[in-house]
Amino acid sequence: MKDVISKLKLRHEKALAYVIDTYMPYVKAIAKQILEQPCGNWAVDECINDVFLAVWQNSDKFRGSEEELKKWIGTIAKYKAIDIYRKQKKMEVVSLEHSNEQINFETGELLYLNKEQKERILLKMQLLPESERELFLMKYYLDLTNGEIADALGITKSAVENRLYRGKKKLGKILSDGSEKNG
Amino acid sequence: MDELKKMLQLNVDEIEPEKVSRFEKKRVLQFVLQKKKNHSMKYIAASCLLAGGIGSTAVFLSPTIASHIPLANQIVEYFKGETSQFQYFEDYATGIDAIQESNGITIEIVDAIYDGTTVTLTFAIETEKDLGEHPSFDKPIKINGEIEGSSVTWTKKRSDTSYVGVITLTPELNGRSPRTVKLTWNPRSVWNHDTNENFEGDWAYEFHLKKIDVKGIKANYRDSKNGFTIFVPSLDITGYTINLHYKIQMPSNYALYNLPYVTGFDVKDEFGNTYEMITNLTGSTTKHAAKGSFTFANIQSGTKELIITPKLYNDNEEIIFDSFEVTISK
Repeated sequence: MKDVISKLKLRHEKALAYVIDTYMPYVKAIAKQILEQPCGNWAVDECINDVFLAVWQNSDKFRGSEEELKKWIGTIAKYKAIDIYRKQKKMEVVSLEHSNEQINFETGELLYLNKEQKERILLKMQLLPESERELFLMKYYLDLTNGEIADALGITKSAVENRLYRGKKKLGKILSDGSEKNG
Repeated sequence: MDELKKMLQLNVDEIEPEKVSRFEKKRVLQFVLQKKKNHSMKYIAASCLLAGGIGSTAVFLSPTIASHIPLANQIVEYFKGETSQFQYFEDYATGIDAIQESNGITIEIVDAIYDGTTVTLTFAIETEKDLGEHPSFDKPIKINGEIEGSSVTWTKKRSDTSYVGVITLTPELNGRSPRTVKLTWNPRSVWNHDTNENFEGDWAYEFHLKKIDVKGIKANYRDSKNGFTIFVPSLDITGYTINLHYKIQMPSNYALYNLPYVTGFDVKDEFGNTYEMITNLTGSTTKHAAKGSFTFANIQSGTKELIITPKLYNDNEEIIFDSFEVTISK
């Protein structure tokens, strides 16, 4: 299908059917890999539904080519699946360092995001530089501690802190207007 | 943490796609399209609203164009070979006759029926531009200001310069069946699927429809199979349609979004005629329960009884519930 992205943004149902037809095998593979064993098939199905609903409702937030669309959908699938897994396992950790903080976009101090803002960063993550994308999703979408992120990315905790500090203003800007392409 | 770490380290670029059946894809598509907040219905036309400041809309027509706009019965004639829906359409339709022209494209809402559950509209398009075999519009029609619901659209190219279409909408009326509904529609472009050309314009329509005569019949049906219970409290019968209202209670591991079955109802009469399903709409009521309606074409066969069989099905299996009979005339 030609111009699938612009058609998706115009809410053409055929474009949605095309996107499901093309990317569902990929989304299902990601959801299965993360959720099938620990949570079961219902969670896989819920994840797939959530991903395509998010894509349909937020296609206007996507910027990029069809190749980048695949990456966007894949990353949404991965993080939504992990989020479902963590909720299911009741492993959600709201660490103390987050709990009393307020969001302050103006100063770039971005310490804790509400549910809506978390969803927004997931959908706008392709505006972030690739090197920081997963780090920010782990921190602000999944609410992982810096130690957990360091372990997952194979870097030191101080490297995580350093990157988060450098990236906060950029992230704040994306969340407050989102129109500017960064990186 | 090891399990989580493994998940976090998953490289989505390297993952091998899984097999997905046609049924699974269809289920996800239906889930997304039926999801309440952002549901987008298919696209149609309606009648004139003389809205100020909308731009280039003109409400007059040259006699040449006006003469090309088909009459209502001419529109449904184009679809009668494909569906039994329009057999009695003309007997119940109200003329709307609202025409608007913008960017060289004239759209007329010709006539419409509201049967208490669904709205059916016929429309015609006249233009020198090539809109393809099945043109569609960028904005859904609103019923009582809302876009939630489902819809089925039939469109056809009638000649090089004219197109006809019928849309059947099931709005989400929250269990009510108001005596009138208000329809508004403000499309900003027509899309040619074949060439991917988009023709921008500015049309605006608004009108009210009164409910045609409806005969409500109690069914009081309930049956359970495989942990699912289906209820059919009542049917609404008009000369044009039969609207069946139902509820489903699911086992605790299922909700509407992950239901592995499609719900259906086979409707027959004592002469063995099968009634064609036109459209349906289902929405969740609680986590494991849903309710909705199925609309069938009334073929006015002179029948006294309808025999209805609920079912749940997918590509591999079918759960058939007990049939029940409804007396529709004595």
